[in-house]
Amino acid sequence: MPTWSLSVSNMSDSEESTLPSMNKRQRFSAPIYNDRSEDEMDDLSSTASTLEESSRSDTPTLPGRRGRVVNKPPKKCKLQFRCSNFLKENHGQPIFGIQVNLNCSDSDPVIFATAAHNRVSVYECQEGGKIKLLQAYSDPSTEENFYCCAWSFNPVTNQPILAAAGLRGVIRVLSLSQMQCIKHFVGHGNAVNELKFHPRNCSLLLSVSKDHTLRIWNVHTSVCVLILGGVDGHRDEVLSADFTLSGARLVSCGMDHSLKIWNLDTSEIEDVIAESSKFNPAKGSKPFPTLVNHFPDFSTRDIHKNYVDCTRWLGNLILSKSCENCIVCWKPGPLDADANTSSNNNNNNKPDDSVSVLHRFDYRDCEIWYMRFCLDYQQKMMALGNQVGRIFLWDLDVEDPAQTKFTKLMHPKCGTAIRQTAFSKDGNTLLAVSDDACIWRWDRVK
Amino acid sequence: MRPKKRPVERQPTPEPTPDNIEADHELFLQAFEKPTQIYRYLRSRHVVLPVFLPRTLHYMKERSSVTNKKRRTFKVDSILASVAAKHQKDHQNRSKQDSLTVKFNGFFNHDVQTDAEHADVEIQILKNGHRKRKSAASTCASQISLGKTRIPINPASSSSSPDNGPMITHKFTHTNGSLARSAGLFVKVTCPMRHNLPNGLCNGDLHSHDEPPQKRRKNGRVSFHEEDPLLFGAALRVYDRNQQCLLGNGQYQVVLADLQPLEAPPGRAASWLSVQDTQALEPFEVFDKLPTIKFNLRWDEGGSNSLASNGSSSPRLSNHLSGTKASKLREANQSTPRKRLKLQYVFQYGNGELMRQQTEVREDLRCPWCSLLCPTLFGLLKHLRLSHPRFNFIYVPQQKGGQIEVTVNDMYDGSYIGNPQDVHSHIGYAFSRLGPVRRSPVTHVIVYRPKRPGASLTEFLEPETDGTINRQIVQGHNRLYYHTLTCQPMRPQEIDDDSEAENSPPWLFKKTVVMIDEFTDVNEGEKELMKMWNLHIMKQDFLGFSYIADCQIPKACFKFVEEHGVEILEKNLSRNFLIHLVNLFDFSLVRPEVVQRAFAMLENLRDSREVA
Repeated sequence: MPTWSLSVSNMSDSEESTLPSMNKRQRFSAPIYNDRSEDEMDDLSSTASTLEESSRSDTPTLPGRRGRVVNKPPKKCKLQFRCSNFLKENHGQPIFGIQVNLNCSDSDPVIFATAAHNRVSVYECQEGGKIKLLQAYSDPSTEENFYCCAWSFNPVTNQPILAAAGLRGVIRVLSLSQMQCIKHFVGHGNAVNELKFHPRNCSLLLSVSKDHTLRIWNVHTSVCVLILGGVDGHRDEVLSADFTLSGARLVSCGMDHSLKIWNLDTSEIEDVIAESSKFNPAKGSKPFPTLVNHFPDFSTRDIHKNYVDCTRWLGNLILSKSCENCIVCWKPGPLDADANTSSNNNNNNKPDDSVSVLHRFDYRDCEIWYMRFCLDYQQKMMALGNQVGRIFLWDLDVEDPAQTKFTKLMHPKCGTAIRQTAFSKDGNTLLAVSDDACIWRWDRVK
Repeated sequence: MRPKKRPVERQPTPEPTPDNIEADHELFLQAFEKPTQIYRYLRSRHVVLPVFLPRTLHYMKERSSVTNKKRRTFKVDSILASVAAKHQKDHQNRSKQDSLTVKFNGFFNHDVQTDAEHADVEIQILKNGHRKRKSAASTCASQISLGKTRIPINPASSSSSPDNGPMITHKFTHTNGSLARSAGLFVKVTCPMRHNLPNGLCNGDLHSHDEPPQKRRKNGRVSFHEEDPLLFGAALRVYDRNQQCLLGNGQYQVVLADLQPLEAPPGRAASWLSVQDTQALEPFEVFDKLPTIKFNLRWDEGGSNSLASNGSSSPRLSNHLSGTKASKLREANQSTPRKRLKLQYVFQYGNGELMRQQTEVREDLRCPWCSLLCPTLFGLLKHLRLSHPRFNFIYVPQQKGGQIEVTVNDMYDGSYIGNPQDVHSHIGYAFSRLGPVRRSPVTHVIVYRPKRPGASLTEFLEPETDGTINRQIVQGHNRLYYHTLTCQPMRPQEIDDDSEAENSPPWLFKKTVVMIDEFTDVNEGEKELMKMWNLHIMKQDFLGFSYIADCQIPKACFKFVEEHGVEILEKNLSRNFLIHLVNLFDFSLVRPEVVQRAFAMLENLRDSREVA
């Protein structure tokens, strides 16, 4: 049992030379590894998921052993999924985003949306592995390429709404009941890489953009509430962000290798959010006083040495990944410090930039960027696809992070990069989208 | 889809190889396809959701079927009076007796082989009453015979003089409360037959003379009793439900229908009979080939028997509608053949030195893009220039019609520069398809009547110039602006809100403080004073002025002591402040007395605090 190791270091301001620059968006074609005897063996097992009885987790104190199979008492990962269906969207373009509607009760069918090309398609998962296309929205602009989408609902009618954005940086708010785009938000100077709704406030939409900023919009009053970015903001494309469960903080990450935490529970921000919900543009001639926050409450560049393309909160811990075949679980400040006091325990007003790395989830063949992992609703499972079409599935429901196991899901027909995965609310269905315009449905085997 | 174009003329006139034609077509499409698609799209959008009606345009006045002449003199109060007067007049008319005089010219049937010279004609009047549904046990149509007379068969046209021909007169009475509302005339002609007629040729079947008689029998249209007279009939409607007279004065030539097949052939039960198929005939051939009857019809009002007027001035004609297709006068339709219009569209395209062109000939005044039927050539040209500005149109008059040269307007600015919110600024979204919404209050000149020159085609002879080009009337900022801070589009009402003012934003204060803190070779006291001084210099006064020049430094020093003196004393930074003032003197920013005076102010402040 390896000890919990801490990697506490101070942030250095020197611009380190980045790794060989990767082409944006043009994710390089995955090299085919022929020496993967494991994979070949796995391929024989057809559509069923194969299990790898090893935790690829590794601690940073043992860098030499990373990537090798660490011998652990072989314990079966209890997660087993079976590929029940896959279908291909007819545009043939990569599907970058998939989101399951979680604003529903458990009895409701699983509804999910995919973002690809200039389309947003809404599907329903039915019994027996069926996937039914419910609606598809096609953007009037043929140049649009949607990267991401997010679900919310109208607080009055409780009808689901779907926000989608992508290359053009125009955020579209689609109403499923009206079957049309009811609103659009212009303002981002460049592509939008991720959208998230606030977990508590269904009106607040977070958009994460290539223009180095994050914005929070009130979709029901159509105002831009908050801009996060500026002098101390991201210095390159922001790629991903996530709210905590309470919505009081958010973490963002981007191409500048940094991860930043922004507190949203300051009085200034809470005031502007409250004001935004009351704002009526027809009544006055003043634009909404959008607040700009230039200063994140925490910033680090020590976790990753490359583009950080996905991050999620796991309680007070942060999961983030770069294109380094590793998802890092870490927290700001020293390990023993309380999460709330870590930022202001210094007298000299100097922000504490130390981080504590708790665990690394290692995997293979995921060196391209814009690959998103996902957690299920209960935050007990984590799934990530790689560039050769495999899905790694971790069981986080363990006492000790070192004991986490992963299952590798593979399908002989799935050989292109899996951009994003999504769990249904009950965790019994795992959906994945790939670069060959395919949607893969994996159902849990009990 | 565009109508087919045919290449007519090429200036270099190369051999028209298929390759050439294809390349030529490619060039043509390249030039005209995109604007045409746009205009087609706009057209269908305009059909679904019109923004305006073309008849409201000044050059399309002829499209409007209602004139506005009465508008000037119109008074609302006059409506009742005019309706009452009309009603009164109708009442008087109705109570009068109208006598109908029908003078027959003859019965014309060139296919009938008969030796009889006269046929019997009977006119019946059919009246349809409108009873209440419950009481209508049976049809309440009544049939009254108006009279019988004999008319010549196939008379020579010259011999038939209308004055002394056989005639039937009848007096129509309009009882006001009459239930019988619509009335019709039924003309019945009985034509006696020659007895030893060859079988099958008794009837006027024109198309099948060579058909074997046996076969013709089967279609049931031939009378089986050759000895029986032939019966023909035709119905004409006199009054319709609204008691409007449909039958005006004039000469009528009525195609008669064969009434014979009404009798079922013996030995056959009810079966489908093919009704005389006039569809096979051209509309005007029926008069030549089918049996017709010619008569003059005249109304005499109030029983007066004046024959003077031929009835064209009769008020009934004003609402004369074409009753039955066959009853239209043939002459009336063919006497005024429309002047054939030939409009030649010459589509010119190509690059600079090699101009190509294709022509298309049209014979109507429809716009080729939106197929709007323009009433005049002027209207068409005006429409083309105003509604299709992506093209240049030049009119070249020719002997018949004219030629319109179409080129792609390279000067057309198709970029979307307007503020999309401005589109709705005049009207708000009040015409939203999603229901009524609040209008934005805007004051604009919305009625504008410029002096227009008369409609003349000369203005289309030369290309539009800057002077004649039709500019939009509402001038001004027709651009979309964005807020500096949020990059969001600026609404028209926000235009005065200068978001571009380069004030010292709060983050700059914060960043300044952080950056001063990051110095390592400066002590804490110096840092504190530098922060205070920098923020003081950056700060704006209530008028929005900040320190911008060296000459303001002395003033800034005094102001600094006024505002921050207490803080300096509390933080024990007075020596740092003195060093700072001396430093300013070293850089020749202040004179020595400023140093002395500023520090004296601080000293005074210290003394007053100690006293307190």
